[in-house]
Amino acid sequence: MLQVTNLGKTFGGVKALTDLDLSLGTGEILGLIGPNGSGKTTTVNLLTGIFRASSGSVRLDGKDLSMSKPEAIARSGLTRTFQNLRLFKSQSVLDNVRIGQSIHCRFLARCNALTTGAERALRREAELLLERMSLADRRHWAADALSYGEKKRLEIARALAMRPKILLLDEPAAGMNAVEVDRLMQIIRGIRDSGIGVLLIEHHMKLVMNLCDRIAVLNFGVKIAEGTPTVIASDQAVIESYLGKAT
Amino acid sequence: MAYLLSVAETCGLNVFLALSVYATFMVGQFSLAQVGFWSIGAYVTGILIALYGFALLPALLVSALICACIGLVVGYPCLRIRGIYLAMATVAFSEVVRVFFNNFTLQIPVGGLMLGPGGPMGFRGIPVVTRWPQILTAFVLLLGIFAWLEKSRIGLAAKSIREDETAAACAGVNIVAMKVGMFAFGAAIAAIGGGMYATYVSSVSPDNFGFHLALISIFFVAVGGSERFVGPVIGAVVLTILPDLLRFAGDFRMVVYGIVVLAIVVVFPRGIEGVGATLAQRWRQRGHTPEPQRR
Repeated sequence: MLQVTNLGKTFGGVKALTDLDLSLGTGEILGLIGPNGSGKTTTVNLLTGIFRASSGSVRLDGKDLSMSKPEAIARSGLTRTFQNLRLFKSQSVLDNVRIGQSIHCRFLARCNALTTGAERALRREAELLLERMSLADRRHWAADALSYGEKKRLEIARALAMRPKILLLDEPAAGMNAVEVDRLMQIIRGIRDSGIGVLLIEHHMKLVMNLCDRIAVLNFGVKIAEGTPTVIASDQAVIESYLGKAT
Repeated sequence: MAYLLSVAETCGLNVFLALSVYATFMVGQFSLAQVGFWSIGAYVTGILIALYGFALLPALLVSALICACIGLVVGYPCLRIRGIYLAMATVAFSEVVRVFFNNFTLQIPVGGLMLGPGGPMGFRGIPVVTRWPQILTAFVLLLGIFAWLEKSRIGLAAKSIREDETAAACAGVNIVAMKVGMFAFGAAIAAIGGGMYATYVSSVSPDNFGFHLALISIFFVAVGGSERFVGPVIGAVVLTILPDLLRFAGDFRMVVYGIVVLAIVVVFPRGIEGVGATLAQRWRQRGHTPEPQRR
């Protein structure tokens, strides 16, 4: 279970994020929304170790991750996707997933170039993941040749290959069409039902309102509200943050 | 025939230098330090064999081990710098090594003769124990190691760091271990190559290992291609043969050499190994049906 306490980040004198508290259990979807520049992506980068927090702590099952490096955090079971796709473009779809799996291998197994033993099981697992993401028939394509929606799904597959406890999705629906969004919604539900906690950072309100068990709203780096989708939808502060104050 | 054999032998030795540079390229580092390791390997192997009566294989292994350790020490601070700064730091390392051997004297009487490194005079009288069978064996082993490495998960992780370090870190790839490890691995390969070179030509001097050789080592990779290990191998072979093919140009030989290198790098940015891929890409860009690239 992910426990974020008093998390804060300043860039120079700018407070990008102030005293954020979040908690997320397994098998739960927590939405994190807010207008542009409200600190959502900063939060993701703090949680995954790309930025170092100025204050506060991030705990996963009691273990403090706030001083850890990105790779250590990924190994601890907190993995992510990127808002702007960051696939390994020239490598095959299957290899993109296999890179995520390497944390399950000891050094000697990593030196193995043959498909034997543990490697065969991992490859099978990677192919199952690709099937779940409807990418199985694309597995030998270079990742760059995929369509936009497929690339987004491949990022999810790569993050899932690390067998995470918590998955961070940074704007997974950005740029998707309606059909792809529906497909994504099923995928995210499937991930939750397999016992993984999902932190969903998203602008797409239909997706957020339909999927999330709870929603936290950020504005100017401060959490202004948290609650179930129905509570959030009628919260005055949230409406004002998006639409401005009625004068 | 003897001439052709000597060209082939030199090609084989240069492949070691090319692949040691490529080992650091695999994790996206641009290193000119390999020449430093190459010369350390040459001197250490020479000293062990000429002065202390080592056989070739143990001498090479000791050199490789020493250079791998130095590689760990040098590689760690190099993690924090990249691009042009890394190039400067690594070329500085090579120069430090060169100047060190320029001032390093270790003369010991062996069988009535004073042998050993003699500072700027160089190191003469190294027994010639490397000939084509040794070079061929080592060459085949080296290619096998790289082919295996690139197919393994280590190679996969290395490639992912080269493409996108942040994404690789978030996919659980240990960036520090991979980069320092590959740096040390490259150093060990350079040491073995340098050791074989010293015991092949029998005399080395610090001036053999200057900035010129550091540049050539990068050319091997730039001309051959840096995407797969085959590239640097092709690059080393082509650039070793090229000066001999250009003898018709007389005194302007090296000018033509430079132009050829420049032309290849400009026209085929992915190197000779990537000529097919480059042409296919241009073909597609001219409006022909795009075909998804298979891997």
